[in-house]
Amino acid sequence: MVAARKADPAKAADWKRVLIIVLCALTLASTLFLIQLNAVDRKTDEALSLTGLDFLTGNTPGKSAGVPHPMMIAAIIFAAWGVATALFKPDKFFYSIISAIFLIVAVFMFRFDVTYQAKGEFGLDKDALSFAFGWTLALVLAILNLAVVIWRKSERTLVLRRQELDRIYASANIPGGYKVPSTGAIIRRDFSKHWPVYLMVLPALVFYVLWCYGPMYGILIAFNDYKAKGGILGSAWVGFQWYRDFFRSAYAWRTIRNTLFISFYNLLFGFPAPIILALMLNEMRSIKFKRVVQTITYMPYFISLVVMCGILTDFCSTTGLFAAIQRLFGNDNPVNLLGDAKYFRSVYVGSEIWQRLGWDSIIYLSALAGIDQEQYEAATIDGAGKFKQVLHVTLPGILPTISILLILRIGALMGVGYEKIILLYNGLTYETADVVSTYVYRKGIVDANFSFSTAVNLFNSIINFLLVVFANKMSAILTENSLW
Amino acid sequence: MAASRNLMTKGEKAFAVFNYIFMTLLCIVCIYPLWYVFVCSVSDPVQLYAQRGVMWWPLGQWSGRGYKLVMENPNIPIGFRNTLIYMGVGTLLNMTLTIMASYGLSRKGCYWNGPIMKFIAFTMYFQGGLIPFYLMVKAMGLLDTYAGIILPVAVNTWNLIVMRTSFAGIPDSLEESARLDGANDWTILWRIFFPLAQATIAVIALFYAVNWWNNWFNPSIFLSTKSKYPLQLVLREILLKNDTSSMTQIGSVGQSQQEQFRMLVKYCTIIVATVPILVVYPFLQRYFVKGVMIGSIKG
Repeated sequence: MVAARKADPAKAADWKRVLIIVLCALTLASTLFLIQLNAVDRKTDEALSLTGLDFLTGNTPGKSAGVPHPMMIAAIIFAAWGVATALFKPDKFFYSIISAIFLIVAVFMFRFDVTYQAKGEFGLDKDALSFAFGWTLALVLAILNLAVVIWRKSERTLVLRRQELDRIYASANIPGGYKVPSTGAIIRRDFSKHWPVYLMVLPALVFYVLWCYGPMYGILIAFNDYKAKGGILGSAWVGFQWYRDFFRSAYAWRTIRNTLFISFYNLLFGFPAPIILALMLNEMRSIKFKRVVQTITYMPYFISLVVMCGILTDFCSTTGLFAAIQRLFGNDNPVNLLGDAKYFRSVYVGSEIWQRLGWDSIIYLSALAGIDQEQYEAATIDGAGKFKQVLHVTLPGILPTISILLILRIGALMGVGYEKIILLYNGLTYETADVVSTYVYRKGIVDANFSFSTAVNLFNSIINFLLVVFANKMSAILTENSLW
Repeated sequence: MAASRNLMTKGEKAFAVFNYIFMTLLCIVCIYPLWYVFVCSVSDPVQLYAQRGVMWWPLGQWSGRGYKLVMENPNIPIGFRNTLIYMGVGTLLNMTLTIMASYGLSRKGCYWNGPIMKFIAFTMYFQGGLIPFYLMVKAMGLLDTYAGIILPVAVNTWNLIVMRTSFAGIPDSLEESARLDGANDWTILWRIFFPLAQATIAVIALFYAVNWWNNWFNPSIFLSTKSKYPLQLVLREILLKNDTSSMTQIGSVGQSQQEQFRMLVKYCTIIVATVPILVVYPFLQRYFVKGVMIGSIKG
């Protein structure tokens, strides 16, 4: 039986090898063909030689581009990878197929993007940037490829384990022999056994592909000049032009600064407030009073954002409540707090605390409830007063909760909620209120400057992502708690 | 408890007194803004417009004229109706997808569950962004439709993870014995998991419903027909864009009183829009608190 099984994969490998090589050859050829077919200088309508295969397509080039097209490089890497897999690791059929699929998808994605928009000459100005973009994509594809390699490596350890199983089974002399399934067989069996489960996940999966990953594809417009007519792929590529525009404008500094300031103030005042409230509530003797306080302080959280901002604008106006309070303190000419850039951050952070204080304290209260009461008794016996008990028992008890939440807040430093700011700010307060996300909103939705807005947003998202990763790493190092 | 009360030192007593006073003040700070709005909403509009002080009690005679004007504004009942539609259909869709997916993803021994989970979790850390999202909705032809508001937010990843964690905590033995009795996945989900995870399901449904109640941003960019506006968007027009024209024109209000009534109507609108949620909130508070706890356990 063992010998018979050994012969099988070799046989199977032959047709797999052929299939993979044919697949790779086909995709490579079609990539090159498509690149060459579309290799036209848009300005002069002259054909360009990008692949050296112009004789195949019949459009004889007027001049040579000189630099190979990134897609071509990617295609060649993929093809080489596929062929190598086919030759040396024919049993890794599954991953070779994945690799080939990557390639095909890549080809279709860039099918339309193979025309150059040179300004007569194939110079190094605008096009250098769109070229840089192309190269970046090629790099991303290469990284995906690498991921597949790593995936395969873990698969290899699985193979080793299977070999060990082989040996154990062989020594056990099971009557009738045995067969350890291949990866493909495992997947097939898994699917035939669990298909109802996958069917249940499918609707949500469709949602994620459509509404979360679909827009990610749309990020491409950050690198072109999006026009509704051309669509996402058909608009003229501009490389990193929007980034240059953004960072050369005064808005870059202003929005980044405001984002950081508002986040920082919110962190500085908004973060300790619920902890203090929870500690004070914890010291209350009367359970009834504590309940009442809790119910009342949670309440502002349930006022919807729009109503909250409506109340706030009304209170802040010169005829509102805050003006009345200012008059109470002897200021006869009360200012509109939302009409002066000086006060915007205070109003924002203050209202944020008002609305979230009680709600955010819940989590600390539950952490406080989890502290072992014996520790307090021990501390009392040791002669610690109330204050010392808080310092040495209570605070260490909720420290893990505090650190996790702090890390989460740091991770969200660049992600100030734009909804509230959009509702509250106006031209008078842009100077301190305009954050990156509101700028993205204004540029994109209000001014319909889609590409620029997407570019700025992408910059923000990447910073955000890095912050989350960083915060998580810190959390893993410092507290041994991490989000993933 | 009694023993420790006797042991209170002077400092501790002072702190306890301070604590109670502080908490009382905090409660006043939390409630007063709403009280102020209420008091204004039932005040006499002329006196209200003229006054410039801190108010504790309605000015002039209690009147419901503002509320009458609010009720006459057709946009508000339409807003309520639309919000109910979004909330009902939306929450139902949210829950269906979330429950099914979390059941599936919490099953052990499924080859693809790990990769799918990573695929899903990644979207929490990186999104396409506002404009690509908008373009996607547009490409699907969902601009200015009810579906365009509901479908793009059909699953909330955080809620999905919480639900999955709760499902994963249900003992395997229950599932196994049900399988021995011939139950399939749908039966197990419906007959075993659904009743056992009822509390979590209620909490998640509540979170989704509150999100729908508060939802205004997506509608504000996707909708152009006013008759499809959810309540919050109608409120934004009235409260933040000062667009009360539709209601003051129709009333029996003279030109000179326009401003005064506009102010009154604002306060009344706030009350009308807030009271429904504040009325149900005390009954649901328990679930909300539970939700925060479940979420904090980590997905």
